[in-house]
Amino acid sequence: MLKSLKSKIFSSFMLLVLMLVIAAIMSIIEFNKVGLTITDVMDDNYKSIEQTKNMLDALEREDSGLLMYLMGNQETGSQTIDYAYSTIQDAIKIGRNNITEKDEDKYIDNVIKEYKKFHSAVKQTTDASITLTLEEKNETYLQTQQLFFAAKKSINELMQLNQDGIYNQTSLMKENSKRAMMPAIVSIVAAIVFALLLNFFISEYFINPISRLINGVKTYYPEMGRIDAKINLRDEIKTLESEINNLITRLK
Amino acid sequence: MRTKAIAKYLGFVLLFNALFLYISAAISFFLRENSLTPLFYSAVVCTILGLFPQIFVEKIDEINFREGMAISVFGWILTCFAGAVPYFMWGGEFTFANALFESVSGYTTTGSTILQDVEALTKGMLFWRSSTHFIGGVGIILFVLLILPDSKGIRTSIYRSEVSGLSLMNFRMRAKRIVHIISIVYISFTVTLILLLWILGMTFFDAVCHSFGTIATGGFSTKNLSIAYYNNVWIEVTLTVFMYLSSLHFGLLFLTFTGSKNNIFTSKVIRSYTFIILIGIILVAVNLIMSSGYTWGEAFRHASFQVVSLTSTTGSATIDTDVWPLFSKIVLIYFTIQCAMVGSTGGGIKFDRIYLFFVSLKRRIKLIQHPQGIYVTKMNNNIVTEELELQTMAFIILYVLIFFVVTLILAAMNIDGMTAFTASITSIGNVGPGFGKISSLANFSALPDAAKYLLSLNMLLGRLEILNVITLFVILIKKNQ
Repeated sequence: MLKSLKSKIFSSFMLLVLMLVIAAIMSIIEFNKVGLTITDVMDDNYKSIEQTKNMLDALEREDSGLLMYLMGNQETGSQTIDYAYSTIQDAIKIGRNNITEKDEDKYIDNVIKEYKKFHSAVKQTTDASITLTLEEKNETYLQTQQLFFAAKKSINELMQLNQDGIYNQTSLMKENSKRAMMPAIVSIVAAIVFALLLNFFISEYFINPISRLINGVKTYYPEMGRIDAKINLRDEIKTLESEINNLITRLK
Repeated sequence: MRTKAIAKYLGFVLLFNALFLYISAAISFFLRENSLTPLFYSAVVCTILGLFPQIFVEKIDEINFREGMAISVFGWILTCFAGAVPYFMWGGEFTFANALFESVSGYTTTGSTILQDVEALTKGMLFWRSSTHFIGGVGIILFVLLILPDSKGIRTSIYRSEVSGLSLMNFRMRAKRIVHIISIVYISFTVTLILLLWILGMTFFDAVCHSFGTIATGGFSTKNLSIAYYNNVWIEVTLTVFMYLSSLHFGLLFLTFTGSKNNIFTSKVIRSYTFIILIGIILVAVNLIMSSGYTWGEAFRHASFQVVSLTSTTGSATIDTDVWPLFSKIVLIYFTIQCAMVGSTGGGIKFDRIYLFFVSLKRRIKLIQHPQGIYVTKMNNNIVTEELELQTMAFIILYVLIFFVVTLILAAMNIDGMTAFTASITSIGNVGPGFGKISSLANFSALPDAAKYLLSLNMLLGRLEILNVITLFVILIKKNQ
């Protein structure tokens, strides 16, 4: 227990300040986490989804390129296929360097595997197209379509993984923002309790002793010799009581 | 009653809680978990609110019985609210009602949970959850008494308000010594069990958490499937032995280990208690063999674990007892009502009271037969005073009355009969699981918030042994009149 009133009041307010400062720091840390989660979503998952969209777009183009090639527009078809191939390779490269979800590398491996099968089939078809009849071309194209759908499915799965990641990150963000507010809410409740306690202690250690002292002075008469305000503390109020008694002695 | 004296000791209670919150926060910090903020900030709030009265209140030289009782009752209430703060701040499945329920369940060593997915909690939160069992096991007030310097019987006043008169019969020593004995037994059992569980295959973290839950007879687990997760007979046997030991009088355990003549082997009450447990195990096992096709080994394995788990008020589970035959369920319900022994970490009506009831009944019958005869009620060769006898009867009546009223209120909330009945009896007995929606491998999440508040109150009443709470509130009401 602290003895002087000054140190008691000072320590009480320092405790309150400490609690509020820590609450503020905790809230800042938690809000910072929310910010980081947003960055994660923007930088990582969103980037991955963009790349899967590019892959899908390029895959569709490669399929169109094949169709153009088979229909006789060989130059444009060939250019479209090559452009689509390089787009997909770039997208895969970016995706590989931007793994954010658990097992995402396995999903990318699956995309590479399925796309490789499709691209090989496209190359074989284009290479052999001169010797093929229209009916054979039609049949070969339908066969590559199976591989096209398999490759598309693998890309969609990768996209779904990242979309789920965004959903999870958003849920986490919601949880983190709620958590960031909690120190403030708990501080409000704790501050109310603190205020009630402070009020009680001020009454007990300041107001009541002063009232007793006032009452002692009011009811004093010379025959009593000294004032007894029944102050059992060792603080400034006790000193005041002693000084009043000293004054009485001196006046006598 | 001096409010400032009570405030000073409640401050110590908060500081003690803060200590365990800091340890939990440290775990979260080192494992980089998202529960660091809730745990650390709760610790800070507890520290600051706990330190505050110490600034103002001078050294207290004496505490009377009423103040001791107020410190005990308000200490428990305050500690339950303080313990709910980290849960509430963490969020997830913890609404305010859920957080309070989990906290009260932890401190009162009931072990009921509202969590559907325990494994979703971080290690820091799991440690805090188990710590509430450890703190509540022998009672936070006793822990505070252990670390405080004694002056002019402060320990005696607070201790006598925390511990039932019946349990004091086996202690013929000063409160200071009793507090030390309880702590020695409690801590040494916990450390031994941690080492054994670790050796038997649990991770060190799980071993610590399960030891806290077992010695405190709480039952919180770190796994959704409780002990069934490990599917390890040796772990189950070890836990069964320690649950049984924790359900005995700690004073007698200490005397046994120190070679005293007054020990657990010479105590008639403990002999009867053990005998009834054995009968219960045999009845359940035979019923399981005959009705559910269990093998002998499986039947005795699960029957012994479940019977000891419920009677010791631990409530850990190795199997879903809700699918057991009705006869086995009724036997288990009996043990949920009977509970452990006085002087243990277990809650509930306590076996000693049931024993005393029958001994007292025997004396009454003798008195009817021979009105001029002089008979005394004895327990373990100690004469039981008329006052203690009456207190015990009053306790049993109040216990049954509260259990009945709570069941009625729960039924009014459209909770099915079996769930309402067992929720009421398991919460006032601080046991943990019941039957129906709250069976051994289920949880209390489906109950409405009002039911959770009611059951939280019931758990606290059970832990504080009812009469203390009623006496304190009678004193407070009379004071205000």
